Amino acid sequence: MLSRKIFIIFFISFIFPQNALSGYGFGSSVDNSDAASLGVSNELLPSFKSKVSLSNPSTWHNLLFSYLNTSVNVQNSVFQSGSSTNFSFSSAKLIIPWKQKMAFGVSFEPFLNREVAISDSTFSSFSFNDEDILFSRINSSSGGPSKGQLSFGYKLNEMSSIGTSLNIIFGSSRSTRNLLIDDENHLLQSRDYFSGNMIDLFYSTNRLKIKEKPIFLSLAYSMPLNGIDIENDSYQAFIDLNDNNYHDVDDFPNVGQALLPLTQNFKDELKIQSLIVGADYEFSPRKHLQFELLQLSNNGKHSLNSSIYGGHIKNKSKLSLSYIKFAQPFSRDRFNFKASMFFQNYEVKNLENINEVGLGLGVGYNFGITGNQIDFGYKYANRSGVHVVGDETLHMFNVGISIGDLWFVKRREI
Amino acid sequence: MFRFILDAKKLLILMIFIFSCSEETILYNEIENKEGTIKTASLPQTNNKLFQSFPSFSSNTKLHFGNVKDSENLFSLVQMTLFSGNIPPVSLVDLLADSIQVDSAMVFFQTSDSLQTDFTLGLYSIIADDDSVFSDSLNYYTQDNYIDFENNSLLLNTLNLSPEIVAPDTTGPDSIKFMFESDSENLDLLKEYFFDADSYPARTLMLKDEDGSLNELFTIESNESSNGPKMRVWYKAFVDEETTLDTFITFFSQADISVFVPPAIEDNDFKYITLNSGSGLRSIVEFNLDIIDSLSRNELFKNSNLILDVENSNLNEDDEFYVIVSALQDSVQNWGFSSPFIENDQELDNFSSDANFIISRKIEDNQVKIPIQAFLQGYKNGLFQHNELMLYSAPVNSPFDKVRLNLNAIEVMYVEP
Repeated sequence: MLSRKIFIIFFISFIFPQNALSGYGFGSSVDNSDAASLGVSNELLPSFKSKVSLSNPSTWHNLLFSYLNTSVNVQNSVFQSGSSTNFSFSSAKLIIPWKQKMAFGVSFEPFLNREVAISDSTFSSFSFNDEDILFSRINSSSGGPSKGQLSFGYKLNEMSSIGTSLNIIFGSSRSTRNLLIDDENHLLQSRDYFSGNMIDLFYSTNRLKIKEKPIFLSLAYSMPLNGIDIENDSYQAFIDLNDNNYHDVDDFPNVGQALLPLTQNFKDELKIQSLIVGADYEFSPRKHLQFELLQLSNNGKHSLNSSIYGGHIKNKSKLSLSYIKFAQPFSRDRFNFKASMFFQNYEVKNLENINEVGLGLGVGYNFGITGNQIDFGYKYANRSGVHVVGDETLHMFNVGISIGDLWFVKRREI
Repeated sequence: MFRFILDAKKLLILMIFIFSCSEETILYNEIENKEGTIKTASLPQTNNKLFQSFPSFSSNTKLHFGNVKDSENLFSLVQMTLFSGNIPPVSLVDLLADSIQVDSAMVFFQTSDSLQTDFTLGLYSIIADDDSVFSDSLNYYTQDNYIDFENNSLLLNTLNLSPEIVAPDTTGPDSIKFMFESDSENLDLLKEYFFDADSYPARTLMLKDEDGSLNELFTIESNESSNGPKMRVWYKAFVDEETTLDTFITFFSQADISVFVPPAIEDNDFKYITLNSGSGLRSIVEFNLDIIDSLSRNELFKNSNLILDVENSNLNEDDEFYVIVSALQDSVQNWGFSSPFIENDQELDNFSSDANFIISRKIEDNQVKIPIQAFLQGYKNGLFQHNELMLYSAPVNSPFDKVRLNLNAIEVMYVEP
């Protein structure tokens, strides 16, 4: 019964966070979906517990218990003279280790976010038959594809481990162009349905050492199994006379007299490859310095022009530096502390490139014998070169809770 | 421990629920490229046609009298029911039986109208062998298809109507009563020429302005109205030697029609878009809609009006006139004048409105502005195949009203979100 509640709430709550990058291409990618990794601004390196990253299956065999993790996100975006605050679901993940040799995981999280709207700041005037007509426009998109992930991690030996994730991309997004003339909404709506598969490969090792202290190195390569295809359903424009945002018999033209939706299929619209390299050095007991480098490229065709802005992110580079101090298991030292900074550059096709610099802070609190943990993450980022907006400042606050239990783990093996 | 974990799970669910309940959209300023959002075009007229369809005499709930606006009322016909009363029903002929003594009768009509001048209304009985002497197809132009009503009728009674008798008030409609008193000559005529349905099965009454002097429009309620024509007969029925039934019976009307001479079709009518329901004059206008084919699928028509100026009309200051515009089911093949009532060598056209676009607007300040964006959008979406619009006088108009209209070019506005 409890699991059913969780299932239902997951689906009614899957709303994506928003920012100006959502207007590029098919939306902005979602980084650091779990609260534990937000404070360290990286993906591969341990942030959840010592030697464990929730985003890196090759580290999961180090877990003693199964964990159900979920995170929610609060984001405040400050741009030009305005700001907006949004709440959203961030990720859900179930990780099951087995005999400290291997681990399985299932997760569900947003893949791309298209939640954004741009509008004319003033009304424009058009003269027709000696009559002045005032109009303004709002272009908006919402939703975005999600990612279901099946992961497997395997410990090769005491030094090395590998992992893989199969990512199934699915879901849809909606685009609406609204021409407002004399209080009448003229709507042009379309919907993009995403489908595709990607695979992530992970390798982690601690063969290298400095002053007899191992350096944890991790590598992840993500590539498409097949490109992400998009089915675009474009509906005929209509005047929403009853203001219900839905094309029905009371609108003009009424839904029965409108043209059928135009369906177009676009192959390989997104082909995302990424390489992440990270290093973690424990310079003092439970105190770590981390470094991670990400290089992402998108070689998709981008034939479908349904984005809010006329450009898409072609490449992305990210460098992050972080410090983390882990709690001592089974002691009174129950807190993880994290601090990080990162630099990010987006190479944008057809538009100005975007630079981003930011800070991350995080704290995690362990409780219970099974290592339950609640994580708080905060990220501050400043972006420059964002189309139309110019500069944008983001404050992101993420809360995650991880419940550990002996699900699928034989009790005598503890 | 288990309870703790359970509590934690509840906390987890609560967090998800709370954080999922709120969402707002970020609005960023300024969309580029305002040019081209709204566009305009002119749709030139390429052809027009005047034609004559079936005359329409306004509302069917009235019978019309009077000579107004170059129109002349000929007569109105009212057919009464053959049987009336309870089971067993009483036939008109039954009233002539030996056991029946007709004391008196009254043929009465009702009106909500008023009169400005006196006139004499004559009540006739149609003397014909046929039981059905008229139909809905009867009009000024089709009289040759029917009997000569004027020469096959017999005057039963007359009634002088004056403004004092017919005046509007709040108590309801006025009655116009033709009385047939006991032992009067009129009653004998009624019995001989109307009750005798065996000899004169038409059982049809004709109403006529006896002098042709009524120069105003006067209406009485027709069979379609709840206050339609009726005939009441008072009689005594001798059941046996000791029993006499003193009673009455009411016959109702079952069909009626007014026949008018409509305004004449003149040469000048062909120069304009001429509309008159009495003569059935209608117009069809063809436009060049090539521009619509070049538009993208998401262009929406707005503020597109057919604007017609009144060139001349016979409307009085207080008259209202509605113009109907409709799409056509079939395209026009012959752009010359065509009429179903005047014999000529041309093949007659039959134009039907497409029910998906019929709209009407009132003439105001000598101009009528009719929104046609629904037609243009429908044409663009393939709902209408023909680039023609038919214009005609609305049924609510007086059949005597005639207007000539000049068409301005259509300026249309279309937008793409």
